[in-house]
Amino acid sequence: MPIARLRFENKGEAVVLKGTTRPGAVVRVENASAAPMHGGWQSSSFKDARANAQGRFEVEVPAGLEGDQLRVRSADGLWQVVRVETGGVDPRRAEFNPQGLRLVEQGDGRYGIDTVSINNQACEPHTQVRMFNMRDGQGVQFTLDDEGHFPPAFRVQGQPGDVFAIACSDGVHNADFSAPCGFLAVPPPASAREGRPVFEPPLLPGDPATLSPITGPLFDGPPTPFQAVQGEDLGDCYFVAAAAAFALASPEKLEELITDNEDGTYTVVFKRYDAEQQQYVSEPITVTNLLPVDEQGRLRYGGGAKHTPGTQPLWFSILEKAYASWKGGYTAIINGFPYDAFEAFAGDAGTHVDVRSAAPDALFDWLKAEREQHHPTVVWTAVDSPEQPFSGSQLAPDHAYSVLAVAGSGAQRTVTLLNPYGHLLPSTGDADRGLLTVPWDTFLKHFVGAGSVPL
Amino acid sequence: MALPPESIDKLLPLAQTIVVAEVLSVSSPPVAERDSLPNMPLGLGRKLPQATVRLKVERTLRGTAAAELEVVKPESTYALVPGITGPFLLDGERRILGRHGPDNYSVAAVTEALARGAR
Repeated sequence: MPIARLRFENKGEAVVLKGTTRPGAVVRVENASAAPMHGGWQSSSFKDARANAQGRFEVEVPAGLEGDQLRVRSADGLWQVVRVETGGVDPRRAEFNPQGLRLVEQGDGRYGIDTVSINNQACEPHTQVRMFNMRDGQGVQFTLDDEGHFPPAFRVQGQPGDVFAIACSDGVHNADFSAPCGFLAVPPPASAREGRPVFEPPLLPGDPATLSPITGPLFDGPPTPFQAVQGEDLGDCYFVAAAAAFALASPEKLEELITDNEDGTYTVVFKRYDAEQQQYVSEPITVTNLLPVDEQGRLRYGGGAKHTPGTQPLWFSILEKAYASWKGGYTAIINGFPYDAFEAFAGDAGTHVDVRSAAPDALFDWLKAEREQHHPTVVWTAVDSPEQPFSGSQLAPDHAYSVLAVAGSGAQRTVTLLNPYGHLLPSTGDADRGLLTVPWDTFLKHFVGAGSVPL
Repeated sequence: MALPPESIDKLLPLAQTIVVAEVLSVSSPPVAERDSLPNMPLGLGRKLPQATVRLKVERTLRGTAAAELEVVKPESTYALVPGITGPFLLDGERRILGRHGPDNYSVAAVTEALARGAR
């Protein structure tokens, strides 16, 4: 029996969906607009409700906001998409998750789309997406389906190394597609990924860096989180923070990810979710020791410009380069979630929590437990706003941090964080390595997301 | 924003005036409620619009400046509100330099860079 008489009620703190169906039937409501943070695989993205004897049901929409696209499943297993409408303003823009996708060669220079993540939703259902090739300006525009997937007929023309800028709109936000929401790059041909490398990931557009062979140890002992440092112009904090958290939680497993081939190349084994096999598969990516440096010979991207190449272990620079190579270029690794990196490292996307809709005490206990179990744990901040400005907090907005420690109780609770910059904001000097212990209240004020992964 | 501050040696040559100052007022066009939810991938840097900012100058580290200055905060990922203090690096058109504005560098870092003769 289908669901009927669907209507929404905004109760201030929550949006409630009401309707009728077969008495006693279970109805599932999934908030597809809260994805890709909340994929269908994550329990906090959906809720179930059982209809009463009269067939009426009522369910609070998980993380529900005006304009959200919900997928509602009735007892007969059919899904329908409904939009939250209570007469308010839609505050949530459609967000695109480029790291969960990859372009796949279809022949004749055409590329289709595939997912590398178990969470295969690209964006909220019915989002309009515009992609254009930054090399030649050629573009396509299309609409995602009921599940937030690309249409099956999606194809773009390109060649290895091409970067596509992506803009998306839910019809309310970014209606002119002026704000980019991510990038996808054309990866090397499949044959190039077998055996030794032939593909150098393209640098950021206009980057004057030159490639220089960097020698030095891959590891100089167990890797530490302080060795993962973000480059000055590469917006991949999610990746750096996840790598640092991984190094803290399990340096030995991180070492196992990267092999020194002792011929100037390294092989990194990433995990990709194969939807056909319904399991993670290994994807070895081999890269050279050629790393982008500036005119002073300092590393431009991961590894940290304040370090002279060759004086520190190379593992992070190589890991980042391999990830960029896998994705098709450094531009393609801008913009992502920590769980994208967790999934690539561990073959498990882990658990992720919306800080602002979580119960604070339960959230603190969860963070503490994750650290005690040596699970890599990453948290991320809100965007800046005049209502809740970041200035003076030593924290950066829209930024990921590795969690190093969770301690205390009651009013003395703290979280110790590591900034991927390798220093605080602003830096406090040469001894500043980016470590910051914040009171729990400060954490709740500025952070919006948290995630961890079991190893 | 996900990007680190620019190297100080990159911005100092562009800074005609450097002041340590407090924000007195900020005038900017009305901003729609900003999405600050965790479903946003990190890395692009969500931008707040350009604003006109009035500063009360406490010290001048480079160039000359009146006791109060009107400057421009370009479209940026950081927010300014009255009461925020810090070093403001200003270009020739009195635009605030740096991805993170007054949080890009500490006063000590700017002073040290100027002392070692950075341009």
